Amino acid sequence: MSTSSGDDRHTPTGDPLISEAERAREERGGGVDTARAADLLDIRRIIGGLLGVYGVILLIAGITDSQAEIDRAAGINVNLWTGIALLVVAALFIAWALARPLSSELEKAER
Amino acid sequence: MLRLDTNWVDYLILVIYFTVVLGIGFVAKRTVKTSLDYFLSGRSLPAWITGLAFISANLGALEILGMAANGAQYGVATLHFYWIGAVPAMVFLGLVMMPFYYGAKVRSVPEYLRLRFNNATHVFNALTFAVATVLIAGVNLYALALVLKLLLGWPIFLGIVVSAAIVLAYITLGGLSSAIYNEVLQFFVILAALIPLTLIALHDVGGWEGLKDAVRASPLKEGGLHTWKGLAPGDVTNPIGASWIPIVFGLGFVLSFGYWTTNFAEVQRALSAKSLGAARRTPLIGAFPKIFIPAVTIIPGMVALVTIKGLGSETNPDLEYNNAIPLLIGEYLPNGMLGVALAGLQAAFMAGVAANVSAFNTVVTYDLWEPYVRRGRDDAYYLRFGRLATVVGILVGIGTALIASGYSNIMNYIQLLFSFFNAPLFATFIIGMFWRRMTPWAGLAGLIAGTSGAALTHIFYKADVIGFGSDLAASFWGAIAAFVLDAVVSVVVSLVTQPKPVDDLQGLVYGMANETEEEPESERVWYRRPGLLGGTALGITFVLSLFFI
Repeated sequence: MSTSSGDDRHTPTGDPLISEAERAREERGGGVDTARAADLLDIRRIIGGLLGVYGVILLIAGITDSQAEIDRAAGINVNLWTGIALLVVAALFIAWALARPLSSELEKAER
Repeated sequence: MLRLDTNWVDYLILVIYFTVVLGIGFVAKRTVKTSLDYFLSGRSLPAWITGLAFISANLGALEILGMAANGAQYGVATLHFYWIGAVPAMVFLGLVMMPFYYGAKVRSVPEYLRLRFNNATHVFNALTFAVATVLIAGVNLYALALVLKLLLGWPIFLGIVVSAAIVLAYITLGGLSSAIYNEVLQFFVILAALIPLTLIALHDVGGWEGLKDAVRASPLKEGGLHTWKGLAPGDVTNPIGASWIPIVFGLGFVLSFGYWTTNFAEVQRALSAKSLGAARRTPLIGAFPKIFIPAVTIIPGMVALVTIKGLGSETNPDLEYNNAIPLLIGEYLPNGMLGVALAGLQAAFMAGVAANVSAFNTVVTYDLWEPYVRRGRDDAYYLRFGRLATVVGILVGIGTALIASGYSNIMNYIQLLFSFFNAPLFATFIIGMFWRRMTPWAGLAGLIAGTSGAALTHIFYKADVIGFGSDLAASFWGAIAAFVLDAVVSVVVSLVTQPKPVDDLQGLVYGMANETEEEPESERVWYRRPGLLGGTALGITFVLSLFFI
């Protein structure tokens, strides 16, 4: 903790989130739930999920786009190609998150 | 004609975005209050998360629209913001300054000032910081209103008020947790929109060579294609209208180092890393994408200059430089991609407002109200006060948004704000960290002198007492004035006042950094060495610079 004045219920200048997290940590003392929650809220899974859904939507839009819409984007079917690229990126993020789950990384950090 | 041709697919994409962000907020709030410590947690984060957050915090909507505006207005010279400005400053933060921040175990930038100097310096900095964050929140609100104007045809004022209401609801509902997720998510969504947009735009003007030819034929002419030409003092011919002195010292040294090394929102990200090594790597990892971001901001700006007829017009507000990216989106993107682009931009603006408003309420509550006005109340009291500060912050933000609407190039306004608030702070930090003799009162006197210096420069410029090549050059010189005045006053006051006993400076000054625990064996691999990462980033930047001289 910092050496500044004031009580210790929250950090002196800090973010309410930090103090909230610290209080919560004291109350719980770790456990399986935390690990599962950490994995569930792993930002890599959320990025992968969102980009994946967008990829599917764009892919469908790209397949059904009319020639007029393609001509607008300088003759490139931008929905189709971006959709494919997003699906690839999404897959990479999910693969990364599954290969090195956050719960085990945090466990390593605490040891 | 400017109104975008949106359909249900675009709205579906927007709705999915906000559902995800709010959903995370609800989940985080209810079931996993505890697990949030994995994100901000008491210093347990791996460098890749903090690095991600560090980059995302900076690649906001302002950055994108502002730098594209600069690309259209100044051409390739805008690269100075990235390669002279940001990258060296990020490397400096990681290599030189981080040991003091992390080692002193401070939680915020104002808190360092309280430990190193005194309460008066702390209060002054907390106050100016609160003002600065509200002003920047206003810039974000204004810019979001611009997008809403293009999207829905709303008047600017209505857009400002409605966006403010949405952000307020969004902070209250999702809380800080969804604000941070939103920040990281918007980074990827906005890249998903900008990269295809840049490729299409470039393709349309005939590739890089075609763009160069078109720029030569534009008002920018050959000068728009070079970074280091026409910079000689006394013979300034480059589009920015500044010589190399304000560019290297004002923008590069003072403004950028000031922003990257003393900005609460940025430094905070690195402070949540799990070890000193990870904290130092945070800005260094962030430096690598930063090198390449100009490709998706400056290039679209330059394409907009040559494809959008009348861009930069003084008479038609729809065609001002700030609109370069929204205009290109309307020009090229079909439904679907349009939704992705709009989701990215909206999310990025809201993240900008949310980040600044929450920084505002944190500083007002914990750095001002609690220590100096009402001490020792219970937690619920400060929580209520913080909520009130949020509402007040947003209301004041609406007012400041109207100030921002007076500037046609948002980035110029932002640089002006930084010259007021960040430039003097950087001088105080650098002297305070490297010179033990600097006294507590010198901290306060230096900051006041520096801020006044930037303010006077601005007033004289506006009153036509001093002339500069452009608004931007005026900000650069203002930053230099702030830095020099701060430094001179700090030294003079230090010589006549009493320094702190050396024992009180443990961990705060150069040569007395706290020895933090050794990194675990697994962390000490060669590719993670901070010196190597920083050196590589600078090397890549240097080599790339050679192509755009």
